[in-house]
Amino acid sequence: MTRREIGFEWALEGKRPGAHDDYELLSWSDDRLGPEVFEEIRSRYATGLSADLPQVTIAVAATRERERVSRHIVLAIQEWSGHRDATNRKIVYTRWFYVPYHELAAHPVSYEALYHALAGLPVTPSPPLAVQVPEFDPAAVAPGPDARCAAALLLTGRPVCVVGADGVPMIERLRFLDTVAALLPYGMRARLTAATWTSSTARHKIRLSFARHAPEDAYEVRWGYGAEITQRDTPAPLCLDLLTRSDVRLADMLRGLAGRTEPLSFGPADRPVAVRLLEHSGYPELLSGSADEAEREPQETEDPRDGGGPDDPAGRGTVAPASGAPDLPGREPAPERNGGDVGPAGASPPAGNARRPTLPRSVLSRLGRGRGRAPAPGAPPGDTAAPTTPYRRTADEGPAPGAVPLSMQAALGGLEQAGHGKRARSGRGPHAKVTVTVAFATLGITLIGLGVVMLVRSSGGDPPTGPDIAGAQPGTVVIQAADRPEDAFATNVVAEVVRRSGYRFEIRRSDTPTAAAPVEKPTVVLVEGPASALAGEPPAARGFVQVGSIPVPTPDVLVYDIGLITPEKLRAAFQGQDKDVRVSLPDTAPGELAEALKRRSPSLRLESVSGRDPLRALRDKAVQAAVVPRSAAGDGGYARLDGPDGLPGRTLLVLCNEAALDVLHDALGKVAGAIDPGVLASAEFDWPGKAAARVVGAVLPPGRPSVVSRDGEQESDQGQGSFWLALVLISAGGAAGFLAFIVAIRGPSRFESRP
Amino acid sequence: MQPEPSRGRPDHNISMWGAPGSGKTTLLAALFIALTRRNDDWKIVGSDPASSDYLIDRTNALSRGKVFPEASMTLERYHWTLIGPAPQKTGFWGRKAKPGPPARIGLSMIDAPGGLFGTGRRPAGGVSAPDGAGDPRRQELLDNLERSRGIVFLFDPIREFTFGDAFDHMHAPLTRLAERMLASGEFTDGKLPHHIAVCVTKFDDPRVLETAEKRRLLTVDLDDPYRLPRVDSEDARELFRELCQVSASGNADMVLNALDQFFHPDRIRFFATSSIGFYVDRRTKRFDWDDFQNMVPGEADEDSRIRGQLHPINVVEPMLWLGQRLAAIRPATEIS
Repeated sequence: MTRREIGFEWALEGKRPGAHDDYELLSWSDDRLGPEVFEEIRSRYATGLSADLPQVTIAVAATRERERVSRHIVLAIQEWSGHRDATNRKIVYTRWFYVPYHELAAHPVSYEALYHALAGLPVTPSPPLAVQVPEFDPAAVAPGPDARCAAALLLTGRPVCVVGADGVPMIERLRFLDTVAALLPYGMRARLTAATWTSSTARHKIRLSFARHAPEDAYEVRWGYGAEITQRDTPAPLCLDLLTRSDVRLADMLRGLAGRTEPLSFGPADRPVAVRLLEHSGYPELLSGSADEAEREPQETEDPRDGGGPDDPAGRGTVAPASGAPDLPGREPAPERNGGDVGPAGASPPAGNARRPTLPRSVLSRLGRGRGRAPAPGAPPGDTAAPTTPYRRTADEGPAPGAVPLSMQAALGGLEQAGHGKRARSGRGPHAKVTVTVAFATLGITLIGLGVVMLVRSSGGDPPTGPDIAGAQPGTVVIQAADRPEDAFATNVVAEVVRRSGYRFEIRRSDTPTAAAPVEKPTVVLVEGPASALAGEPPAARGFVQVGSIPVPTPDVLVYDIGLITPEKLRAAFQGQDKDVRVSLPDTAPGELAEALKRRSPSLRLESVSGRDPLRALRDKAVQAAVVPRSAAGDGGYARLDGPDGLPGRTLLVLCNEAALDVLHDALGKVAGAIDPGVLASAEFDWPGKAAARVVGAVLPPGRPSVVSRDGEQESDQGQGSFWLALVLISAGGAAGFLAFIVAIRGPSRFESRP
Repeated sequence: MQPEPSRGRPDHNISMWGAPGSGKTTLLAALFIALTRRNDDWKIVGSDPASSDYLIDRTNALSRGKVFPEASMTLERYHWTLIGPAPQKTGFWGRKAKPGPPARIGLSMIDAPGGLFGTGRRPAGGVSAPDGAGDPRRQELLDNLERSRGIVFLFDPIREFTFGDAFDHMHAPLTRLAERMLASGEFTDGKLPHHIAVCVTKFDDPRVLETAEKRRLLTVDLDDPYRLPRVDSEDARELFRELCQVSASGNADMVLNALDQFFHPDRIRFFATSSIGFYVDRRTKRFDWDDFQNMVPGEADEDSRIRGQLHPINVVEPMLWLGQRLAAIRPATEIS
């Protein structure tokens, strides 16, 4: 392992022994950087004071010197000084080290290595200001699910906070930060701020942090486990998929990412680039496969300017400047498209660049890309040609319109290669025809089969039953709930907990659940909680004990026009801090809702609109936000307001009698405590059954299936969802079969080369 | 006004204001114990998990560890709800009626390092505004002061006697705050719209207690089983004035004048406060004029420790006074 000297500048923040003043800069290197630089960084990246020192914060800074901007990675080491102030409180030293990023780009190092090198220095280091640091070894990185989730979520642009690591030593946390950083292009370290500890009650600007509780605006990643990543967290699901695929060689990927040293930000312009680099580093074998193909077809040769493979020294650490244009022209095979357009950055027509794996089109469209030029006239609409342009760092880079997901490429087998061959030279028509026909037919049969299976499973809706299961679970737990549709989520949560605990459940409905609850059987009762904004006191339930409370997703949600108001301002308005916000309320909404809103946020300007078109005022820009039923929230593409500050909600108390208490107390309490009321407005809670299964699944291990005994109807949307999915699958299968038929009878003429 | 403790954030922003070491963090740390020591039914509940953690950790550190909290290094925010007793309504014809809902006061407390209130001294060669206004933490602090309508101002008489810099830690932020309120049209009557609870801290220090005793300002609550000496709120201003006389710089009287100039007289209230209170022997259970010091200064490399049980004095009262006043005027404030 090579070691190299890395230069630095430093400052020391603390108090003088016996001082009565607050923390200040005590000393600094007084070299290129003045004290004002250190003053600024220490005020910008304050994280609070941990009782467990030392702790490390990684900040970033840019300095300007004679019109030249220099980037720095700043390491702050917080440790006890051994001195006390005038009031006998222990003094903390924060040692700030500025390390030029260009030195770390030329000689990549880990945060841990940098920490070990700098922490051993005296508190006021003397010249020469340089330390020996070993080179970063990607092979030593072993990411767990938490690190992979954190890396994927960082690419959404929102901060990430790791929780549940209270007892983990600082050095292990620092190693974790290194691991996460290693799963991103190295250049992102030029902008990545991270900390091994942050105060949960302080606001900070750290992008990747450890804390006991995650800030409201941050993703929460649980130490050792990871996070639940949904499709809304674009592009995190895709990135996580790339980071967890079994066909990706981690060592190759990490080596490739470590070579990408050009500074990249976490802003919207650079994040898609980072995703591409991640993807690029994950599939070096596809690049080599392309090279093989290129040998067979001399027209398509690899261009070293394509960013190169991870091991390509020519491409190491170089990311071309943004050309600002999609690279669609290059996707067309040169011989057939006659060169097409030339890339705006002056790139020559990509007559045979390495084939680069591409993202699924749906994902790219969610990234805001993919609105590239329309295919050339005559091009088949479903053209699966792989992109062949050199890699360029462009903010609005578009994907190939016909690019298919890698999984789909694998499913289609040799289809794509056959297509390449056809475009490259004519004369393979009959073979391709057979291949395509077989592929489509196989796909059609598979989809129809899957659909039929799902249809059969969804028609009953009951979990599987059998003598072995039923015999193993003799107990039935009664779930007594009010007859209110919006309580379906809470009822399903309890039912799922019961099921996972290995018991049967029976849902009973009554307007007075506590009165109707059977005392002699194990029973769980859901009653209105006192904290509910729309409810009064809970009814007494003799013989029942409260084990938790479950917040109820409101039937209405708050949507807003991001062009008219920011979510922060809307939240402030609902907290009563902003007086000039107009919100429409459908006339079908319950009167209690309007009253509760007026009571809690009297400064809000509520405007009534017709319940038949609750989004009308928002569309007309007469209001900045609208209260709408969940069923209408998706219309118009408006954003929903998540978080605790929104519409007033209800809470149901979960009561257990003694018989149920023995078996369900811990599980119900744990699940109820894990439900975050701040996310209930999201679309994930539009389907109460699925939401309940997901929430419970995140807390409890999967249990044995049980038998559902129903008095009323089980509130599950699973069957309904499966039914529609089955129909979609069957339809898609039919379409694929039809395509197979068309290709079979008309195929040859479609593959003839164009003049 | 009645946020749900577990789901919403409290409405009333209250900022702590005071020089370094004046006892801001210790006062907050003693809140739970202070409420528990009272005979009424007021209690404090965290409105989010982090704020609850703080209450639990600090209460444990004070009551079991007997150690003071370390100095703050950044702006800390705590969201709590004070929940009071349920008012008993009189039933018709003297019959027993159902109790009403308990009173709730939401508090968002801001605890900032005391140095941020100072004059913002920079190292030699540093270029900055005279009060360090370019510091983002100071900006955040001022933003909070501007948003809040309640201030707990801590005046540390021991520090004033030693260094005399209370006014230094008051005038710069006060001037900036007035400038902002003027710009936002909330300084129309020449006064800030804030309520301010002025806490004369370290009342348990013998020098402060003796000053109050010499001025005959001490009183004893007959309902207090420990017979701890106190200074009534009406007399606390007099104690403040008296302690200003011994300021090392002689500038402390300007603090009092500035308070009168910038705040409505009916929105200022003085409290003689001690977060740890006086030492009370567990056998006699009575305050002893010969043995009342509850803080044991640490030796060379030891923490200062709390000797006996905590009996906080006037720790809850400023919060309750502010909370109740703000809750009473809040609708009017929002309409304006």
